[in-house]
Amino acid sequence: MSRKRTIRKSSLTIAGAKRANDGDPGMIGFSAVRLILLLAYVDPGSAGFIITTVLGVLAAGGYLARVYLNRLKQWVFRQNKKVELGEVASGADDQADDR
Amino acid sequence: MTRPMTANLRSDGGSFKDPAGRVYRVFSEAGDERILRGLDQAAAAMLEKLLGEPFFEALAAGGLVVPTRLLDRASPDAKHVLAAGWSAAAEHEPVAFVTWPYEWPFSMLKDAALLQLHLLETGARNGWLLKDATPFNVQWAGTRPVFIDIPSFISWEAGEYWRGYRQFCAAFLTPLLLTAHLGIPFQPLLRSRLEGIPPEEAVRYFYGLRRFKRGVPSHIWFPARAERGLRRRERTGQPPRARARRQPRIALFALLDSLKRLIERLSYKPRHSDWSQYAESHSYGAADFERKKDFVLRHVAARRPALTWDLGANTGVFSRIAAEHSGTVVAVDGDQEASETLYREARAAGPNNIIPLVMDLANLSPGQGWAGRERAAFDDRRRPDMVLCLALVHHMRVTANIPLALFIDWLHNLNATIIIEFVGRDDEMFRKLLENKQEDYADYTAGSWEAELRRRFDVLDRVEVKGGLRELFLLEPS
Repeated sequence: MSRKRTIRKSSLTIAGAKRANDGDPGMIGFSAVRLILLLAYVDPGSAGFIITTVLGVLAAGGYLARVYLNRLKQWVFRQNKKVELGEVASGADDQADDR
Repeated sequence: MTRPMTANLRSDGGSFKDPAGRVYRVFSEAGDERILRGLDQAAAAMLEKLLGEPFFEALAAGGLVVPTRLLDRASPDAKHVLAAGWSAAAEHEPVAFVTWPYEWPFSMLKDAALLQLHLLETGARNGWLLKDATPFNVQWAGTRPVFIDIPSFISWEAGEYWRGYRQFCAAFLTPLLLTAHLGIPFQPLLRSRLEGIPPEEAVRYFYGLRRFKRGVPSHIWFPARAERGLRRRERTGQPPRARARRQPRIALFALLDSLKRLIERLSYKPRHSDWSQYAESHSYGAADFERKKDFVLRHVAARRPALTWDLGANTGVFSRIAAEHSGTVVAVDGDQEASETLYREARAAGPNNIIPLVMDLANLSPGQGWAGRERAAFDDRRRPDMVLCLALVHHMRVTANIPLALFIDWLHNLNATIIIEFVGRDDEMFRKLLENKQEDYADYTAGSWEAELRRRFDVLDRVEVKGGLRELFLLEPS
């Protein structure tokens, strides 16, 4: 839906330029270039926060499971070293250990 | 702030993007190179704090980050940097030879990626993060990756997201996925796209069922969709959604862990190629091959070069010999399989002072980036002390169509000691090269070869091998 809107908007920009400049192809080209330049200012990295949050949260389930499984193994085998989150990972509760 | 250049400091061509500092190269009269860095006040304070961190000291002791120290402001070296307008100066230990990611075989990029993730994870556990994630920040001490851009470490508050993720995927992960999953060499792609392959472009390689390969849905397909969505929202004029840019701490560690596990599992199996099996398939008899090895060993051992280039190294038979008596050997071959094999073997069993590179010798890495100086051309970095060109000249002449005189000129311009092998026209390998050629390469004769050599070099030693079908020369520029 929004893609259709986008195409329509781009077409309107060019069509508007065409009308305003009585079909001057130079102005049509100018408008198209202007549109591309405006889009070039959108930093693709802006999506980084959403992407890393979604991927991080999705990965967190398996990650925490491995951490606690390791801790369980260590408890069963009476090993003293605590598994640090961040070696496999670090949760908020381990912040003090890590610093 | 305008920072005038000081005469005896040479600003590094690739160090201009970070306004908080700049790298300078200084050469002593003896030709030794030193790497200094000018820092602004905030960056200097950050670096001072970082250098005192136990975790960073451990990384430096393990050779994972380049040894770095802040210079006393009163020292003569610091004065030069301060005179250029900076608040403080630091010194980094130089690497033997700078290389670029588009010259590395698969496993080198993989190891560099794992180093980057290790530093991120270790840093985050101690309140630090890397502000970017480019493979240009990793260099090689032989087969060991070393992180060189120390001011990339910045203080991290739990909840801040990792801004380098996109860059990491574009420059490390996507090239690795392309080679591991599809067998597409990443080097030509990275050579033309210094910032890496963005997700919207990468997703085009993974069409159909390929999009379900390991790591592709999460790190290529999803980011491509998200970025496309962002652009669409911008086009349609919708205001960006207001959101607090903080995420659970666990999200960062889980993401780093999943990336590490993904990359560790990526593999690339070198296929049989003409050059990856060179050690077994060359045309020499045992006695002749030993004579050739002895010639190389004798002359490298006598000169003990700090930097040796082995051009057309294959799987590094002669690189290994040179490595015994060289500071560092840069082993270059156009065959990805051969360089990959050499890297894996050298990393596993040594010698650890070889840097294997993948590069077409008829199309060496050019000067790239801004003004062509951001990433120096292969032959515009540190000059070698010795160059090995064994069983290479006939390929340059016949396969690559480079006239003998041009190739010898280029070698002469390196101003190094050369060990070179001339393969005569009657050698079976030369005749094989001519099988599908129309041209006869009439200029390729022992007579014209020797005449071209003597115009530019002094021949210090020579020995015939394979019953006179080939000849080895030791040359010094005249």
